[in-house]
Amino acid sequence: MMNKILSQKFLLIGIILAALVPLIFDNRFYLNIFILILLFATVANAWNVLGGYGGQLSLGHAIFFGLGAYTSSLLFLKSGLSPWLGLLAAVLVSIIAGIVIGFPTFRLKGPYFTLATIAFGEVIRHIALFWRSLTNGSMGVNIPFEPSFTNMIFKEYETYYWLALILFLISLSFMYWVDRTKVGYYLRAIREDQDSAQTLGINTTKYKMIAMILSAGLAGAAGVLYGQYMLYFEPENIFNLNLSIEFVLIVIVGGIGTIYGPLLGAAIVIPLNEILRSSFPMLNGMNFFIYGIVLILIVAFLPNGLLPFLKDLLKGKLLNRKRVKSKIVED
Amino acid sequence: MKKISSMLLIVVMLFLTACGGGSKGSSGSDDGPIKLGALFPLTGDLALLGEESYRGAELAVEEINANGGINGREVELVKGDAVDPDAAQAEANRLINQENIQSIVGSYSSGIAFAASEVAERNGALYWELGAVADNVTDREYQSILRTNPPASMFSVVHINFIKDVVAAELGKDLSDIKVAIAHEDSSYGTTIADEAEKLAEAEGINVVSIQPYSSTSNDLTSVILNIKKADPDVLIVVSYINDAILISRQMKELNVEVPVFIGSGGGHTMTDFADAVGENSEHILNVDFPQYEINKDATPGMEEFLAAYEEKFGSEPRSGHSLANYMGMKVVLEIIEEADGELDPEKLREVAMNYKVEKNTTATGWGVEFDEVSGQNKLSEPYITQWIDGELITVYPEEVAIEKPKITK
Amino acid sequence: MLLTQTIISGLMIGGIYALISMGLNLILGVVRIINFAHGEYLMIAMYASFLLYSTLGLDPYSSAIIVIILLFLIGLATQKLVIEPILDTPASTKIFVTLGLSIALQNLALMLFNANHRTVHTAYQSKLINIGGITMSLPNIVAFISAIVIAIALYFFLQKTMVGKAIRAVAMQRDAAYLVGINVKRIYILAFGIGTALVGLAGSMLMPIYSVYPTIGTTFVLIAFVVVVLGGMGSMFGAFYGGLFIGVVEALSGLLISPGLKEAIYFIIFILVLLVRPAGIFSRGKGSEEVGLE
Repeated sequence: MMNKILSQKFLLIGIILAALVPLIFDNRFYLNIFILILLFATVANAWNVLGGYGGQLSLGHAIFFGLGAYTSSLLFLKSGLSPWLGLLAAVLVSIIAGIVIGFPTFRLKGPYFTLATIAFGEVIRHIALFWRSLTNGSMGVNIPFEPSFTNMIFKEYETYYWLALILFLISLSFMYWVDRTKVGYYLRAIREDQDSAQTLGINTTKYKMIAMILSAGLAGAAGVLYGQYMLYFEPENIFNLNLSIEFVLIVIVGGIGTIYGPLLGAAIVIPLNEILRSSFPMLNGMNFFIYGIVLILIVAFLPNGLLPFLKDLLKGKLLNRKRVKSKIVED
Repeated sequence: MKKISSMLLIVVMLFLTACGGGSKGSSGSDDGPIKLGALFPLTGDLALLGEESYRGAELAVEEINANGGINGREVELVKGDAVDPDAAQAEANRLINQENIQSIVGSYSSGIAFAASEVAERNGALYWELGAVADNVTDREYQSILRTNPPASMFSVVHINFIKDVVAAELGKDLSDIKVAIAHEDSSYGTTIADEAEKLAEAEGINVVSIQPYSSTSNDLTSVILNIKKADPDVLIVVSYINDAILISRQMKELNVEVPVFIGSGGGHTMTDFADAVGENSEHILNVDFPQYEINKDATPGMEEFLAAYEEKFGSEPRSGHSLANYMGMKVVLEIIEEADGELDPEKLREVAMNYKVEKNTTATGWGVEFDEVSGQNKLSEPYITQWIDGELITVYPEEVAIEKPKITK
Repeated sequence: MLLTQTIISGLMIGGIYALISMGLNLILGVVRIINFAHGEYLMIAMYASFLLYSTLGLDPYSSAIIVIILLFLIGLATQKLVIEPILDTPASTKIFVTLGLSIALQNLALMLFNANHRTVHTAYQSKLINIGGITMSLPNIVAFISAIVIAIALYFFLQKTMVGKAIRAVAMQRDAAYLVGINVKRIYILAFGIGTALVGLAGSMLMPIYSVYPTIGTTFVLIAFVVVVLGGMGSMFGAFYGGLFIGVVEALSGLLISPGLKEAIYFIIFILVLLVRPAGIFSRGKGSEEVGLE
């Protein structure tokens, strides 16, 4: 009980602190990074529901992210629909895509499911490149910079930051919901052993589908905000396999199947990218070379991610201290 | 457990906050070096031409520094690896908001130009495009954008003018009897040039018989080539990066497909690696592209110096004209800054740029400079036509820069 | 005529896909790891072939044996040093280790060789074989024939030799193989080594056809996965037929629909096959579903 109240307090303080970030220091470079961290953490959360809790290793989440961005932006550019309403349409489209992809592929196991999601991503990327009358092809979507509330375009980075924070918190509350209800329990059971879960009477397809709907919808919403923030995207970057990979990477680095792992992962991966890009101006390729090596090391040495590792570290210390204390008392 | 999670969240937030309080760039002062940002794709699929472009900008900066800089201040290029639009966005943010840089040059790729210039527009910085061709980059009429190189629509003007002026006569056909096929890689570079060419060809009454988009990472383009064979064009316009340019030439040979007039559109078709890879198959391939090096040197003063500097620094001849175009563009940027007395204020600089005029045939590319007040596009830059003749890329059109006549065999 | 030429050309490129995919098939089927760095081994093989050509003047075909041995050793080392320590981790971990490897190798190549496209020049390179108006290039035919030879040789190796039987045993039933005294880890190392050695051969065969540059591997890696799954994991002839099938599908859809959609089309076919017959269209066995259970 005590613990719960305490944890809620910490969470509240965390949220307040996070909300105050733009006021504490007014530097757009950092704000941009924070916005990206929150956006990517949101998608990573979304992936985590399906991939982390449900064990469905999707490498196609760029599909939902991209569909979200395309839906709201094209509605805005072609029929003037405000992105705020476009957001609803985008979430809907992403969810439908999630169902369409999930329905047949949930039967597939292990690498087959992963390869199928990669294939779906490639199909959508090539179609988006080809269907120029709809998507403008590789010339991409360019939303004119006309700041206004109805356009969901803002002069100040702060507004985007707060929007991204809100979206992130929404995704976080979904994570809590999944984590603490039978949904998460069943998903974990499916992840551990799908056949046993089925034998126990869990409707595995249903719970995977719930996870997929949640996952796709959240990723789509994040895509909308991404589009409104970047104001430019094209199939090659928004439907890219590398983007799907980055979402998953964030979760893996932070801690797969944990609530705060994705945030921690995003807070590491995105600044790491940033730092590496500017660190080796003399030798092209050194940045990504180191990135690759660091990736191997993190994943190989902390296969469960950083968060569980840190938790163990903290717990171990606390326990040790308690032990020391009790020893002293005994003496 | 949850308590620990929340604590970690706070720790992360505090850590990030602490980072934020840290360093602040300090280039605003008047005595330090003049810092300019440079965004090019230096790794990944676009690395080859991205780096070639960057080399040109780098040489122009070294040249001005060797001559004492601007008002005695050294010029420093702060470069960022903009491998894709996302990286370009992040790097532009870093350069502008962290390094306090007010002018960025770039970028070779239109996607990168779009992403980076959005950041420039939003943050009141100036974005100088020296190499990307999509018309939309300047059509947005942003105050933040100036472009020195010709856009895709200029490429197609040259394509079509060349067909009108030269090809029709050489083939002995009426314009309306000439069949044109277009094959292009499907990123924004190929798509914009192909689109513009198609539009203009139709406006001129030229018959476009086939348009074949393809992915530049494809390992097999036989279907593109056989579709072209089916369409039996007189003129084939191709827009390619390098690996697809090589593949098309090789596979055309393999499949015994020949077209009377093959016009590449820069990118892969003007690169030395292309000529090396396809050997004599490159013979007589025409190219619409930025200026290359076998050209009327009277019309391109300064090119010899560029070539000498390039060879000295990189130990080889330029791999294509991209470095030259970026060198010329960078020199324009530097001269405008010089005219503004080293003042980097974007509004002031744009104003100076608008009054900055250079006659044609007085720069290393032969381009003049006159920026459009509204769009920021340089109106006096244009692509030329070159042709691979005996392994050399000879400029053949238009006449004021040509050193040989185009060789067209029926 | 046009159609015949398209199908023949498709078969030729299919032979190349088959050549690259057979090694991947072995790695995926035995070690059960989605190896995203597979394309980078091809890139390394091509650079090795190029360097032997540019420094020693060795023709890619005659240097093939050196490249194969080199790649075999690199494969052994990769499995021993990189993959073996993470064998017991979740599938996601393994994927990301190979991804990290892929990124690191690509950029290592960029640093060493920069992004230039390197080409070898041989006399036979542009030789064409013309049969009744249908043309094929000599290097493509050589690659095609070596794909057939490799498929047959691998078949006999896996069916008839002790080591080959042990590899198949591990591919089918890892635990049972362990129980009957097979050194599973050693088999993994061997399978990975043979897999990369096959890529070494592929690289040598490809060098007269393509130029090499740091990211060339990425243009082949996804297609190789498609081929392996279509053909049926663990089936060498499956990978061969799968390669030919994709080559022809690619060429025909490019001709009849649009070259801009050919990738989309073979990925759609791939998805359909996965859904209808996950064991692959060219495999009789059910082994691959078991792999799916991992």
